[in-house]
Amino acid sequence: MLIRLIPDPGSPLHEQIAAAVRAGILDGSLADGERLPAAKALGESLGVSLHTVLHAYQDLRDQGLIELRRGRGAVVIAPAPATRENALRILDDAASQLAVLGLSAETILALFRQRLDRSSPHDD
Amino acid sequence: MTTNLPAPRTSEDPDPRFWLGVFLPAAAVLAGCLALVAGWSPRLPAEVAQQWNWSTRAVTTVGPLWLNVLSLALPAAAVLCALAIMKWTGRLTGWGRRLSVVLLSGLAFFLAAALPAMLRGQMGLEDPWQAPDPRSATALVAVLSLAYGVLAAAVAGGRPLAADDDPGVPVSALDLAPEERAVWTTHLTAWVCLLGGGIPGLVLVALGLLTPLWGLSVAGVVLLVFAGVTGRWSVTVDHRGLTCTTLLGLGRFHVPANQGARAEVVAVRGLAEFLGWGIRVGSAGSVGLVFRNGEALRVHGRGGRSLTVTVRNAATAASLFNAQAARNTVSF
Repeated sequence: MLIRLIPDPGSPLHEQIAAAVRAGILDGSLADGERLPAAKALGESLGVSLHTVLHAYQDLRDQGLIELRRGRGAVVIAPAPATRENALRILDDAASQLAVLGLSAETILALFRQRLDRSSPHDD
Repeated sequence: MTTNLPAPRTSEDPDPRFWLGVFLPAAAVLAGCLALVAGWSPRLPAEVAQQWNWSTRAVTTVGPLWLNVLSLALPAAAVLCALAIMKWTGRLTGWGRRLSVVLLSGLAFFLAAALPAMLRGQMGLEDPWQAPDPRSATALVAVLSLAYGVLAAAVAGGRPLAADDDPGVPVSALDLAPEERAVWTTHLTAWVCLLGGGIPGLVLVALGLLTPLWGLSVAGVVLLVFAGVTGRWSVTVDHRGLTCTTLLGLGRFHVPANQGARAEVVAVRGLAEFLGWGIRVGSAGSVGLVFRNGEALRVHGRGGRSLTVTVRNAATAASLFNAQAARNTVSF
């Protein structure tokens, strides 16, 4: 997993760390159950504070991408490779069909988010 | 007048010195000791003394002769096999070559010669519990074994006994912005260490508990601890360089990313090379954490030393290391 941090007032460091880990999980390079580096070690490698790394890890935990376990650190929660492939195939099909409609990416994402929220079992 | 110097001998040339000067003499010592003990067997008691009390020098353990022979001859044969396999698979290279020859040939000699040293004083005895303590003879055998190992290493000569590591593929540096910070990290499970240390460790512990050779349990526990410590590794490339640590932090290899250091991607041979997996020392003082076949990251530090570790996506790690080394060189 490669994490790159570029000083940018518009993009806090913890968000950049979280984005890099998220990208690793989504592209399959971080497997389910894999442990992320210890927050202290990662902070020393990147020259950032422990708090910054923990902030990133907590964001990822809130997004359901990792688990924070006492004594085991941060553990990746990723879909099985077959499930991931199926999801990507469905999304590719949907993207190609939506592209024909001429909708903007933002509109498509907003609609998709709306549909997800509507079908979520947590929404009562 | 022009003198044509002979071409330097390479590892590809036939090298009878290893077989004739190192392996065969050690094998002959083992065979000779076994023949000697076989000749003594009619004069030895049915059960022979195996262990003595260090303080009182009294016998503490007796056992069948065959068990005594096997407990020393089998490890001696195994050490000789390991030496031969290391030769065949190209592991006898670099600065560790002479040390390997000294240790392995000396150990084989010691295990083989300790057998008659232990049994000589028991010839003609009816009661094995009256056997004299063989520590003086064993100490003499230890000294002779060390001398034999040193002699064998001298006979083996100075040229490489096996091929050097294959050259790698150079990797260009990652394009880092001036203020950009980056880290590449991964975790490795070293199954070869877990299984290679764990299974023999369990077997030795069981043997130590079930037989009079209780010392095997101690060796087994040491192997189990080794397996646990080296079974999981964290590999990191950052502004400091390449660092490989065990998860318990008890082992650590590091190559700083400074002037003259460079990283490349190599294809490591392993499956076809028995003893090619694990924590190994290669040619020119290089260290390898080789846990499988194929893609690996190799970093060359100062003094020609290198650290090789089998990781996925080694090209990314190598490009980041080269970028960090270039940055640190510029900032000096």
